[in-house]
Amino acid sequence: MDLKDRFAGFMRQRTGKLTHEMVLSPGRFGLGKTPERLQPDSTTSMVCGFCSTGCGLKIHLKDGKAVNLTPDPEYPVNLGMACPKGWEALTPLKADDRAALPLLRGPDGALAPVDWDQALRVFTDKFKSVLAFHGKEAAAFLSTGQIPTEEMFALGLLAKFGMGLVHGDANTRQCMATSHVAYKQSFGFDAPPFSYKDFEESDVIVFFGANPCIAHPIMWERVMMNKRNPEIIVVDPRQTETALAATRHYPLQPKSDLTLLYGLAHILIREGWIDRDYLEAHTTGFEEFREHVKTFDPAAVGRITGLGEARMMEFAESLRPGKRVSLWWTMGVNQSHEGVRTAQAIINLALMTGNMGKPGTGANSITGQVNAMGSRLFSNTTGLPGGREFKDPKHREEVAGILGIDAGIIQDKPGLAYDQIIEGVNAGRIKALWVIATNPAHSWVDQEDFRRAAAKLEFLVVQDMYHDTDTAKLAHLVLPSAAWGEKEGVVINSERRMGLFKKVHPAPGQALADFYIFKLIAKYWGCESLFKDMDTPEQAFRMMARLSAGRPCDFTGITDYRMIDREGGIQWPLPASPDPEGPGAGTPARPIVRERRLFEDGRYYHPDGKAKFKFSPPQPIPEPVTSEFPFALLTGRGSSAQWHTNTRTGKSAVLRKLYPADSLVEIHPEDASRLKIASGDWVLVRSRRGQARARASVASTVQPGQLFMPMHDVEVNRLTFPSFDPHSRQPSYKHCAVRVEKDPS
Amino acid sequence: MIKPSLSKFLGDGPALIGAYLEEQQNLTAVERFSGLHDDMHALGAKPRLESHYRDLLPLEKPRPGQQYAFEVDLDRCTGCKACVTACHNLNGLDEDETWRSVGLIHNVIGKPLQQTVTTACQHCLEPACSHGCPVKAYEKDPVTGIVRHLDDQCIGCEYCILKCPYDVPQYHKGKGIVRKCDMCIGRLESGEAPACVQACPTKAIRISLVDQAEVRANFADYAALPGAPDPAYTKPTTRYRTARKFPAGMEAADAYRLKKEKAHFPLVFMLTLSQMAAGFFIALEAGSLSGLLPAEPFFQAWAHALGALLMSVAIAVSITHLGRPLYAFRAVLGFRRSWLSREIVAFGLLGGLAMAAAAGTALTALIASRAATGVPLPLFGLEAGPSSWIADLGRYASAGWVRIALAVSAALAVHCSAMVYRDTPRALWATRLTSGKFFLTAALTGAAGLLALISCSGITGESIPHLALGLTMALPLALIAKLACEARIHRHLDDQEANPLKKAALLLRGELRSTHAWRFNAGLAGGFLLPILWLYRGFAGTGPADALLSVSVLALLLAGECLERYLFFSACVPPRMPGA
Repeated sequence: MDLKDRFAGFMRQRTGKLTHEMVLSPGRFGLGKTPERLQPDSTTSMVCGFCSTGCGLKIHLKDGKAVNLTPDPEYPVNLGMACPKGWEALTPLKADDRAALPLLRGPDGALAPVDWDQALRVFTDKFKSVLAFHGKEAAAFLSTGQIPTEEMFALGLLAKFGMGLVHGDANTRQCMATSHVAYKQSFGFDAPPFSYKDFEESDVIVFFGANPCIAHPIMWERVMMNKRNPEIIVVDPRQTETALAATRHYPLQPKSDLTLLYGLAHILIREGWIDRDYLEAHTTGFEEFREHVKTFDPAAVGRITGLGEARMMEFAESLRPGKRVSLWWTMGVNQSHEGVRTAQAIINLALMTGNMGKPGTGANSITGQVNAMGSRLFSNTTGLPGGREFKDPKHREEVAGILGIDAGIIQDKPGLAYDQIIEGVNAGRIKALWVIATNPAHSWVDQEDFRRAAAKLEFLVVQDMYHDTDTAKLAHLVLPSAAWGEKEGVVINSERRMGLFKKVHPAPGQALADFYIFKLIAKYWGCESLFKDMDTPEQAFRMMARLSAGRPCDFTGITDYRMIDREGGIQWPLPASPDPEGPGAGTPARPIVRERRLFEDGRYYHPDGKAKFKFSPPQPIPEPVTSEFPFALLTGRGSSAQWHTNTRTGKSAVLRKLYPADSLVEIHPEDASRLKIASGDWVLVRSRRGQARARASVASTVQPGQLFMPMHDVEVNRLTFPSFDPHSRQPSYKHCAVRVEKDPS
Repeated sequence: MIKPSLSKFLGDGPALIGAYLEEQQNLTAVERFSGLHDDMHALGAKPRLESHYRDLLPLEKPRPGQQYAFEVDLDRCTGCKACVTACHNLNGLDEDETWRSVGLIHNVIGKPLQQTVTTACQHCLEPACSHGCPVKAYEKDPVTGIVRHLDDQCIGCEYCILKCPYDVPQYHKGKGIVRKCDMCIGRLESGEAPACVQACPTKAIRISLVDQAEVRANFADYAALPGAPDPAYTKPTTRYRTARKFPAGMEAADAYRLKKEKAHFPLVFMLTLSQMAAGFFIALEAGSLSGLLPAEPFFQAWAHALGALLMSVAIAVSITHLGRPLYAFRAVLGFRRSWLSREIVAFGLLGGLAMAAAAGTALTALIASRAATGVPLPLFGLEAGPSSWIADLGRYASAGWVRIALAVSAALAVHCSAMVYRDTPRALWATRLTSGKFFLTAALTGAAGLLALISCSGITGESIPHLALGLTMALPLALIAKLACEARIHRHLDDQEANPLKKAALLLRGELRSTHAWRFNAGLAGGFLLPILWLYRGFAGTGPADALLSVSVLALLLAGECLERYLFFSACVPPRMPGA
């Protein structure tokens, strides 16, 4: 009998080692079942390191080390959900090409490992000699929106107040500069007013140049949680995933958005669909604005935008007071030659209709990178820490006083913007460049422009988690960074929520947290006294809190990291109790609200407490289509599984399965049939600057005469046209003139 | 600016580097934030996401005649693909393993419309994977209806991958087995939602109960999407719901994507060699039994030995195809349902009979030759004379009925091989042409093999030149029939829709063009030009020139057939759920 059973078991084996590998164990820590072999012995929550949604991820730890993760059900942002990037966030840390040692380009032209001591000596020697020989404006840095605020802050202090650099900017210039300037001019401070709860509380949700289904899937989750049966309107030349999921889509002509917005304002004023009381009490400049939009006759605007007068009227009617209207925008607006005015035209609509400071309303900028908001407040690039101005002597004094430095060393005007720095390199004025956690050799508009510049540099330092990014390959010195998950710090999301990065994964080799790299450079440079009270990121955070005191972003009520952790992130502002000696000392001045919006009292940050109407006439498209280059090339996010230049997301085998292996260009069927292009054919897309090879995807998601390419492929920015918003200096990635033909080879 | 004072501080730089490097490796999250999270979750074992998915699960367990099924609300799916990664992480899958996928259907012409589609196992009423499995490694759970895979039972033959129209079973190279979605049965059993259901930010996926009789009656309503495989084949249970009406032009976004499929090289060689062995045996036995081939013992012994060797190589190659060859013996279990199981049994039978016949003819030949010298053959300490029982054994093992059985099992083996592919949902294979191709391969290579043996062995006999002439003349005819079978696919170039047959034809004209050309060239040279040349030159029977020619014919034909079989696999576009 026993033998028979054994034979039967041998012939038909129902269980064993292979079966056991897939067994799920009853979950602890409220996780539900998890794979037995990845059972955590504790968990901790931290913010995802990709985009500005700022989702909470529950990290499963075994002996203190991350073995798996699930989205955090308690975190008020994502409520237990995540996009594929979040789910796969640990995978890119384990890639083979992590930078594990400093690399120095030797006389043979190859990058070779050196020790940190040598790397830091070379760094300081080179920068000092460049500054000594070519003057103090001859070196610059390009930073990022991907590192915690403490690190941006440390870099800003080190570079500007320690090393004495005048010019430094960040890749947030490519993503959020427009919103930053628009808010600052309109509201008096760079203050996105919303919380994600507003998605759930609107009657009308309008997206301008935003594709949250793909770019911010968790924000779309919040839209889908709206129980008010909202009208969802998408304004985008392309029929995006969001446009398809929306209730209405306005496929306007590319870059006609400012005209459209003025046209809508014209109709709202003409029909009296405005909130006069709100305008009176809380805004200035409306009369001038009314004059300005008088000429934007709906018939003409309907023609220019391609929407027609009837659809303009229909659109305007859905904005009329009486409903909760929230207006959202992202890169389609920001990355434009007139992005600031476009964003402000959206703000103007919200102000006119009184859709501010109430549930489900607002003129709301969806941010891009995980810590673009931190960069906007504390990077010491376009402004001084705490959202202060270089040109304001009072601000310089405040900062100097708190940091204990001489106010005289603070420059009295902002340094050059990103494009101007690259122009400076190309003109030979800037000789040394330090690039931190960004990849301009891929991402810069008209990429060749950066590559030409890199070739001219005497010294290019790239500080990154990978040693082989497009930019690191050009470097003279590569400094290995610890990544998200390997260091601590605070990041600020789109809704002003400060959340934590924690240390849950060992950094490879000798990679170091950027914070400590900056501290080491300070040591070798001889300016470490700048950081005398900032031994750890948390101490730097306390210093930033002191710098925020009395500013609109005041977060002095946040005592430490554990408080942020306990509360599930905290939105600024959260000032401390005003009485430093009283019973409430060291505690917030008011109870922490999980989700809070700004301007509920109608008071803005301009000295008069009012919001300003800002506007100017639309400008012509910088590179219009011609008979030689008859297509408008639109660019944007390709899939939810890709992030920017794909240096991280490309390292996950699972994420790679979720996007096409080849570069892609969408083309309308009419154009495709005229050019004899079929889906899947290789085509060449050429602009005046370069060419890209991609597979055609014939789809009527784009309009005739337009092409779309996902921005993640390195070839795309060989094509884009370098034009910039005059106020924000943000590049206009979303429109350039190209032609397309079947690849003969 | 703070004055640089390099010399003063540089001294302790390296020490600071050391301290920071040490600090960097110190993982602090638990120590610094301990208590906060784990205390929060000490609220019993209840999963914290339960409230999110409570309404996405059925309230009751399936009653008899019911089963669990996925239900997808297309209007809520926006293609974020979180389901794919959640399934991957929550089930602890290996690096690039995924059990769920997200595809796209769209309308190219006319009003633009596109729809993302999430798919996993359909947990079919008639699971083709299970029906095809030679080792019964699949079972449809009688209570839940979930189609489960027994990982430890699997031998890694990958036949389920060929059988499933939905591309569900995934081969795991490292483990040598297939794995697939089990609807997170372990989670469902304890009231938790499957990973994909838990993770969908927009609640587009739910588990519902379906009546199996209803699915059977209205199978066309399930897994019903433009571009989706024909549900009649397996009766899938996933229901896709939408308030939209898809226009007639909706199609899979990858409908025109052309990419050659996996070639399965061991199967290419196994099929070609086994069919050559089969054809060879059929010709050999027909020739011998009809008296066209001489009964000369050593010729018979060599012929059977070579045939048996060929078949053994074919079987050995087929075993290398398995992920877990040690468990190949289990393949008999599926005999009642699986053509693969039957093929394996038929191969075993053919191999066994070939060995027996080879041993028998060899024994007979040896005993006969020893008998001629008068000294009996010493065997196991026995004297094996022509009238000993050992000689009888040899005669039995190579008796006429064994030879007939050998020829019949050879035909059976080819038939089973053909049925393995005909019994799949793949249009290129699921046709009588597959049988035609396989038997013609057997005819061509078997005849060429026998011809080469005759020419090389120097065997003589009255009928030999006639037989050789007949075989040589048969080759071009068989080749033309074979090429005609293969060329049928090109008719589908004119098909309106991008069906798998049209895609196969396009692949043969595109990515596989040069292999396709080589296949024709090798076939024409070996099966047509050389035989004609041979006939023109005048057939001399045996001799060095004939030997060379016959071996060249065989080599070219074998090469051509291997290439044909390579194309058979790599041009076979399977049905799939919409991808890209």
